[in-house]
Amino acid sequence: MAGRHTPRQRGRARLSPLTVIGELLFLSGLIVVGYIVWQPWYTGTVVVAEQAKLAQGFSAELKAAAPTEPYDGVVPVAARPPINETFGLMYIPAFGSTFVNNIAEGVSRSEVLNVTEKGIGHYDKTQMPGEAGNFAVAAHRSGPRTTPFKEIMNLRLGDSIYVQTAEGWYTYKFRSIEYVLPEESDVLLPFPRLDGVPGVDQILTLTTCHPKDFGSDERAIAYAVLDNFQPASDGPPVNLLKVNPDIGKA
Amino acid sequence: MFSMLWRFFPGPAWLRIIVMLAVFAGIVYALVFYGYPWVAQFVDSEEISTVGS
Repeated sequence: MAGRHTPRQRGRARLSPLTVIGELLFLSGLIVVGYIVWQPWYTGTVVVAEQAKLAQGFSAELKAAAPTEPYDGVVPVAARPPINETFGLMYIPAFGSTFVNNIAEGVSRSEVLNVTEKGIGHYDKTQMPGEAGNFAVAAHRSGPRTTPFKEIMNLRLGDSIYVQTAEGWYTYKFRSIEYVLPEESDVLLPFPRLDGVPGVDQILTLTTCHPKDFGSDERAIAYAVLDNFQPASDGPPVNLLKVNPDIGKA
Repeated sequence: MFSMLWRFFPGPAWLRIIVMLAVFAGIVYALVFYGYPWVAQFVDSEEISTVGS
């Protein structure tokens, strides 16, 4: 049998420039594919774990800032924070039992949406939790940075979304999702989609990109309605503690 | 280039394979924890995620 090495002497073959170029191209291809594999792993695992850790610290801060006067039965309006400042936390068990993410004021990409420590931004022209109208927030769904709303399609009718602020815990129930074009900002109106109508319900609107992983030609909009409020002094809602018992320990 | 790499390491074939796998694992580790995060700083998000302007 003719061995592999018989045609040319072992180790004597001249290195052809074409071979080197080919091998370099192959190598750079591998490195690029590696980046594409790495990126969702990074945003899905490392950044999410980082957020969970940050949230634990911030949750304690919120507890310390809780109002001192006893709860009078009227759902309080969350204090409007300065722009770009973190003011709350959002827990969405439908995204994973331990999912939690900071919410900051404003939707600046460089200051909030692209920033690992923030990620979810509140449209500062919309209402705050506790106000009749629309508490609208935005976050990325895919991309190289933090992507809190990656699993927005996991939301099912009646799923709970918890917003924690210094005032307490606002529990929203997911109602529906719709796809719109990027310029359709009427989803942010106090009564979404109806101009000139005052807000009646307390709505939470999540806006993010669609399609996932393929740019931002459209937007996915998820609506939820306030279901319950629990003052900070009462601690986290029981149903949230059931799915994520660690919250109480913070 | 790969053939040069092959000749660069000493020892029998099985040892060379092990050493090269170890080197490869090291390179992958460095890329995942240092290389890619560094590159990601310069890759701007193509996502807008907000409605309106």
